[in-house]
Amino acid sequence: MNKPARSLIEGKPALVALDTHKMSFAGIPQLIEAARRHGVPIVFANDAATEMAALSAVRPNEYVIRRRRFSVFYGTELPILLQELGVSTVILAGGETSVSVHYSFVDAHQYDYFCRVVEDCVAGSSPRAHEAALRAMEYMQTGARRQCGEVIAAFGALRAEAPTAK
Amino acid sequence: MTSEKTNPSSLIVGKPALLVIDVQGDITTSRHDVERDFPMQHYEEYMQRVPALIAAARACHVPIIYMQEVHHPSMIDFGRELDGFERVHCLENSPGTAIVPEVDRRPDDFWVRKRRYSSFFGTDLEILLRGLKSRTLLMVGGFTDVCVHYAFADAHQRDYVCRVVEDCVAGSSYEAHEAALAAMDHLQHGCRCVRDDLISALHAWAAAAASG
Repeated sequence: MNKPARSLIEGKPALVALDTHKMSFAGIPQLIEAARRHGVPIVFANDAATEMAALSAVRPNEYVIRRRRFSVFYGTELPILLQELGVSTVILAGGETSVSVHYSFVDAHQYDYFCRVVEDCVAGSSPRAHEAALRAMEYMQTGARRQCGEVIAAFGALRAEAPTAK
Repeated sequence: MTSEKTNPSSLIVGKPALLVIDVQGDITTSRHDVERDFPMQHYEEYMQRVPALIAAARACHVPIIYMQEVHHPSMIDFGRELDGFERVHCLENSPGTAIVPEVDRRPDDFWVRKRRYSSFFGTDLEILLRGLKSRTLLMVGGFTDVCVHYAFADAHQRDYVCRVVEDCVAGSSYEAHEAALAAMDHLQHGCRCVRDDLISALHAWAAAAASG
């Protein structure tokens, strides 16, 4: 069967940043800054919202989700938020790759979102578990694994669209 | 808070239920595709160990829940499932979608159909488990790294004690199978068990339950 080629961003994207306050490497601030510059909604998900808010300086039009489980979809308002935003592509960054990122990806996939994982902006697992989780995500959606640079470029290529009916 | 009887083996906490995940014709009879390394070699041999465990669970009055993945022939319900490595599978009108007869599903067993990987996603499994008062979920079937792993993760997030019977599950590849077992153990240490140890634990649990 021929599979349709998918773009990095299908429809409207959202960036979901998982526990990014714990990540010290350079890619994440750039990714967040690019999302802000190009009007991509950002959802910060954390198990300690106050700490995260202080460190990431969440803006009024951004979203903070407190979660008590690994998947950011489980027992949170994220499904309804993404629906209201009209999002089709969920872009994941943060950690841990093999736990919160992987299981959030699985739920996004099962909710029919196009899912992308920014592989140089996820971390926290052992090298072996990290690589296995990335492979599992690529198994679910071909082209899921993406580099920070190409995601930023895709944000830049988004056309300013007329406001949706929502 | 009520106290729970814990089996000496600690494999079973509270009431167990056996979750038989996707032991269906399409999967169990599919030949290993060397080019795609899919599914893992000797897949059928892993599945052939399942019926004896089911028989033991039945003898011990442990509820058996058969999960069956189905998709509508129109393919409207595949979601994003065909965007990756998997091909069209488990169409409702295909004979290969049936639960294999070897696992001996009976009318009074539980049977839950699903249209996504996780046994919990969009199904009535939780309602059943609540009614059964199940606390420990024993998982067998396939693929280790997809439907079993994601049922395990969801069960874990719903606070169940989870056990995966590592010689009764098989994966999309051997490497992915091993990685998924390691990921499950990361979620719950001690979750991996082998069939014969579990059968012993089931008998011990049943004996303890019978003695009140």
